[in-house]
Amino acid sequence: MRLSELNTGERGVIVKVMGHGGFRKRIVEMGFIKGKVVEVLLNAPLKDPIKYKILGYEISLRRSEAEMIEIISEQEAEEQTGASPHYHGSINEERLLTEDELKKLALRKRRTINVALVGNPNCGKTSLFNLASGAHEHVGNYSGVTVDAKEGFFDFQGYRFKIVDLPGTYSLSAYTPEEIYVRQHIIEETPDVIINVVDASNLERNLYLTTQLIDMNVRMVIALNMYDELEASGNKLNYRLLSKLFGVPMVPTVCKKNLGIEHLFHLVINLYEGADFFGKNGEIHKEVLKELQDWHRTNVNEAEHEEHMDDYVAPDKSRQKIYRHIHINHGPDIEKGIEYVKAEISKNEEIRHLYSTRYLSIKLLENDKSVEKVIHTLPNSDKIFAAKEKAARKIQVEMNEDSESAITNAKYGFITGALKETFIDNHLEKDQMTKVLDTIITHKIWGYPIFFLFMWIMFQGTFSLGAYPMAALEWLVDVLRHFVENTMAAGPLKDMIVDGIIGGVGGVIVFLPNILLLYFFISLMEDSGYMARAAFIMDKIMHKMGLHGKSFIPLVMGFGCNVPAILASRTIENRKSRLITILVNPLMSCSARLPIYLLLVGTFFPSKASLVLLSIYVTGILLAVLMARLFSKVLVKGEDTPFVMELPPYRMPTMKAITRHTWEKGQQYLRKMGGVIMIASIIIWYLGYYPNHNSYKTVAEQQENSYIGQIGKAIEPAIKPLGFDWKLGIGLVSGVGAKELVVSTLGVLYTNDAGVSKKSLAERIPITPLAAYSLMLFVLIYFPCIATLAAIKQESGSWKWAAFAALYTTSLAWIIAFSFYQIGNMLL
Amino acid sequence: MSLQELIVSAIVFFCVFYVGNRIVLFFRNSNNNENPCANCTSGCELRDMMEKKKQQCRDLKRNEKKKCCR
Repeated sequence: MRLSELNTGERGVIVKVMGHGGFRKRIVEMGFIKGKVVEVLLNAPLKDPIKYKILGYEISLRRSEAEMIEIISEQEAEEQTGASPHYHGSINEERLLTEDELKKLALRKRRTINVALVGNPNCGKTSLFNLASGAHEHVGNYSGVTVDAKEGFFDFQGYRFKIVDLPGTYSLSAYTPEEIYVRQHIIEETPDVIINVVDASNLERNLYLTTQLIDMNVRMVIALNMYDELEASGNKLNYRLLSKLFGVPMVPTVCKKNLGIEHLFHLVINLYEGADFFGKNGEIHKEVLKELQDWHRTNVNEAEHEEHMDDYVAPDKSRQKIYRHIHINHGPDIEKGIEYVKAEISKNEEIRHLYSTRYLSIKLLENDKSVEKVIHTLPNSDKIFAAKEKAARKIQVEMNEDSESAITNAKYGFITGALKETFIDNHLEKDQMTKVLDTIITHKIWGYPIFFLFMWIMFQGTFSLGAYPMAALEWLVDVLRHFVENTMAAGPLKDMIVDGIIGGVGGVIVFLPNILLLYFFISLMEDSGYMARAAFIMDKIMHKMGLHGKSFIPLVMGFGCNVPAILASRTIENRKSRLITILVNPLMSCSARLPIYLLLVGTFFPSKASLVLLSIYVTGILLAVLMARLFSKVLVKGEDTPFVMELPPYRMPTMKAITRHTWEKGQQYLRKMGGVIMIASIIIWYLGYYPNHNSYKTVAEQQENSYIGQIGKAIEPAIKPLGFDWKLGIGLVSGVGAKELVVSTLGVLYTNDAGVSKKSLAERIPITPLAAYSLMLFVLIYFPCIATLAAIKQESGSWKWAAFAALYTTSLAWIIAFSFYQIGNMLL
Repeated sequence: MSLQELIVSAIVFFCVFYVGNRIVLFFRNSNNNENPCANCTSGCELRDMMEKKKQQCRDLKRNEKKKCCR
C-alpha cells in the first residue's frame, strides 16, 4: 500500500520510494529510507498535508507525495506474520511487531523490481525480454514488431523481476502513439529501473533517446546490445568512460549469444538497492552497504561475478557514488532559457513528485503538446507560457533557429562530443557488406524482380520440399482409416470416426510440413533483415496508392495472421492511414488459407504450382493496394505524415530462433487439429449424415437430402455462377469461423463418395482448373474470420467498420471470382 | 438407440454446446473490448502468450497469498 493510505495513528515501514530521481533524492534526504518505520501523526482538515514521524522527527508531506511512497502497514505485517484476526485494526502494544521484524517484511516486499525496457525499434528489446523472462515473444528484424507493452516475470539473484517490453521509439516527443505510450508508462507506472536498450552498432542515433531519458531523471541502466557487431566492425568503444560521461551504467550485451544478460540484471539490482542512498559525504549509507553485502554473500556466485565500477561490495572499490545524474549541456543560450522556464514551473510544488521540472521546461521549449496540456492545469500557466515564449524568442534570436531544433541539435552535439572521447571508428565497417547488398536488393528497378524471386523461392520450397513429408502423412492417414474400417463394427460411430474425424482432420493435417516450411522461410527473411528491405522497396508504391509506408509491416504480418497484423497498425499515427491499413489487411493471405491453396494447386496445376501460389499472394497484395487507393479517395479523408523506413543491417539468422518459430507454428497447427477442426468436422459430418441415413440408394442422394445438403442447396444459386457446387459452398460458409475449416469440411463432405481411398481429396472435388482458381481467389478475398472482425472492431472503435470489412470483402470476392470464372469460360 | 448412436449423440451434443459457447463468448469479448485473440477459434503464439501471462499473474497472486498465511 501507499503511505498516503495510512490513517492517523497508524504505522508502516517504507518499502520503496517511486518517482523521478530528484523527488526520490529529496524524500530520501528527509529520512524516508527503505526499512524505516513511519507513523502518521496528523491528517490536516482537508487531508493535505499529512504530518509523519520518522527517525524521531516530525515531517509534513503532501498527499500526492505520500502516494509515491510504497509501504507495508503494521496491519499488513501482522496479517503476514499470522496474527489473530482479533487484533486486526487495533494498535495493541503487546501485539506490535518489533522494528526488526517490520523491516524484514518491508525488505522482503521490496524484492520485486519493476523493470521497463525502452529503446529504439529493432535494437533487440524483445530478444532481451524473451531471454530474461523465458517468453517466446515474436522477434523480427524489422521495426514496429512491438505495439503494446508485454509483461514477463522471472527470478534472479534473490529478486523477482517484473519486466515490461515497451514499444520501440526513437524519442520521447509526443508525435507518435509509441512515444506517448512509452512516456506515459514511465511517468504513470514509475518503473523502479529502466533498461535502455541501445544498438551498439548505431550509437549516435540510439543515444538520442538516452539523453531524453536522462532529462526525465529516471533510474537507468544501458544495455549496449549487439556489442559483438560493434567489435566485429573493428570499431572500439570505451564504454566505461561513456557511462561516466552519461552518468548511467552501461553493460555490453549480445542477446543472441546470451552474453552480458546476467551482469545486466545484477547491475539493475545494484542500482535499485544502492543508487539513492548516499550520505552528504558522498559515501553509500552504511546500513544499505551492509544489506548489499548480505545479498552478495547469499545470492551472488562470486566466482562468476563480473567486475563493475559501482561495486560497493568489493573491498578494493570506492564507496563513493560512481554515477551522478547529469544534465545534458545544451549550451549557454538554451540552458539559460531552460532555467528561466524551470524557475516558473518550480513554483508548483504539486507536480514536482511526478515530473522533473527541468524535463518539463525542456519539453515546453520543444513545443511538446502533451506537456503543454499538463502546464495548462497549473495555476500560473499563463506566466509559464509567457516565460517559455520569451525564452524561445531569445533562443531564436541568439541561435538563429527555433528552440525545438536548437535543443535537438544540442543533444546530438552532446552525443557527438561524448563519442569523440570514447569511440574509435576504425573504418573497418562490416556494414560494407550491408551497403553492397542494399545497392542490389533495394535497387529502384532490380529490387522488385528480386522481391518476387524470393517470394517464388519461398513458395517453390514450400510446395516441392513439402511434397515428400506430405505424401508420408497421407499414407499414415490412409493406414489409420483402413485400420478403423477393418476393426470397428458398422454403425454411426465408425462412420463418424472414418468420415468425420479422419476425413476432416486427416484432410488438413497432411499440410503440416508445408506450413512449417512456409514459416521457416518467413522467419529466415525476417531475421536476416530482408523483410525491412521489402518494406522499403514497397514504400514508394504504397505511398502512391494512398497507404502509409509504415503500413507495410502490418500488411506483411498479415501473411501470418490478420489479428496481430491489425493490432500492429496501431503504430501508424495518422488515423486515415491506420483505418485503411486495417480495412485492407484481410486481403493479405493469412497462413490459415494456405492448406486450401495447397490442396488445389497440387492437383489442378501440378506443373506450375509455385507460380500459381505466387499469383494468389500477389493478387492479394495488388487488391490491397487498389482498395487502399479507393478508400483513401472515397472513404477516409485526412492528411498523410512523413515516415522514415529504418533499414537494419543484415544479420545471419540463428538456427535456434528459426527452429523455435517454426516449431511453435507446428505445435499450434497440431493443437488446432485436436480442437476446433475436429469439432467442426464432427458437426459437419453429423449434418451430412442425418436424417434418415439408410433410406437412400446412393451416397449422393443421401447427402443432398441431409441437413447440410438442404442448406447447401439453398445457397447454391449464389455460388453456382462462380463454378462451385453446394459442397464447396458449405466449405466456404464453415471458413467464416476459421479458414482451416474449409479443407476439413471438404474432407468430410467429399469422403462419402465412391473410391475414396484411391483418390486424394482434391481429386474428389469435381471442378475444372478454372473453377479451382476461382475458388482460391474467393477464399483469398472473402469474409475475414471472426477473430479478425473482433480485431477490426477493437482497433477502429466501431462495429460499423467490422461490418463494412465483412461486406466489402465478400462482395469483392464474389465479383472477382465471378468475373474470372465467366471470362475464363468464354476464352477457354 | 444403439450404443454407437448414443455415443455419437453425446459427442455431437458436446460439439454443438462448444460452438454455441464460442458464439456467446465472441459477442461478450468483443463488446468488452478484450483481446481479439480471445475470439480466435484456432489460437496462435500471441494468444498462448496472453493466456500464459494471465496464468503467471494468477500464480503470482496465489504465491503471495501463501506468504500471507505464513
